[in-house]
Amino acid sequence: MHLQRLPNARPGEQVILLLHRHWIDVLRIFMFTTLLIIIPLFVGGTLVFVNAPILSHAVFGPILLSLLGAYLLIVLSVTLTEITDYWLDVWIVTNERIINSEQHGLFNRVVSEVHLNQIQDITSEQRGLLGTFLTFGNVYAQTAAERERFTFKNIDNPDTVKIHIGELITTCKTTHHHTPEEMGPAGSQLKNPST
Amino acid sequence: MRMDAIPFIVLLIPYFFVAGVAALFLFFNVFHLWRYGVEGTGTTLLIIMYVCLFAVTLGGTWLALSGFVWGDTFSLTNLLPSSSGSSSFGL
Repeated sequence: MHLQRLPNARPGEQVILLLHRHWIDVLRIFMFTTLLIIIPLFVGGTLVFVNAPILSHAVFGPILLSLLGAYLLIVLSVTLTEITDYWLDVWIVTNERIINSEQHGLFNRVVSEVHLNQIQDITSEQRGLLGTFLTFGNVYAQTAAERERFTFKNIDNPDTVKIHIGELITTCKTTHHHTPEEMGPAGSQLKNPST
Repeated sequence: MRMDAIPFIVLLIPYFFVAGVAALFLFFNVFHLWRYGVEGTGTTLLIIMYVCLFAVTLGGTWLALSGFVWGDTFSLTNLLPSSSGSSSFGL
């Protein structure tokens, strides 16, 4: 996806914010991967330390080694898929709309968008000790549509993002909303065709 | 060659299977990044990192496995516990 060629881009539409999830999610992935790598190394180290005969066994030695190789490849595949999931979860805020692009696993992808005019209320949320100290959390954009909320998950500085989007909504509504007085007599008639 | 002799290379079948699946995962991950990722240095670096990590892991494990003579054979009867009850692991 090229940011200069957004899907269904309007004339004059500019990208204001490009948001990924907070880096703590990347840290979680790496901690999980490290744990998965350390466990067999610890077990292997212990077997070497106690000089277990299974390591020098003519058949079980190669079996263990091939299983360890397969295990490492599985860990690598899971880690790469998790990083892809992280990288493809993107929220793009333009001066016209918000585009939400979320990847769930390898074959499940959801892309949705909402026009800034449709947003009625915007809420930021920071939860827990880590969320407070590392300033990450969620931002919810409430729309009038049936779909209740548009969620920015685990983003950095949710308060700042909320304020920024709030300003964009105000600007957008001011630009696009015209009062009957501003539209003149024709506009008033259009607003109330029955009169 | 004895009838119950099994070539060591058979033990590599699970490894080859997992390596194939991992290569498929690498392909799909790279494809998704290339197709749906935001164009830029970050996505390009991520794709390069993926390919390098996969090459290093596959190369490293293969290097470790290449120390064995996989062309030899082994017999299942030698692996089974003997009638005296002693384990083939010597544990």
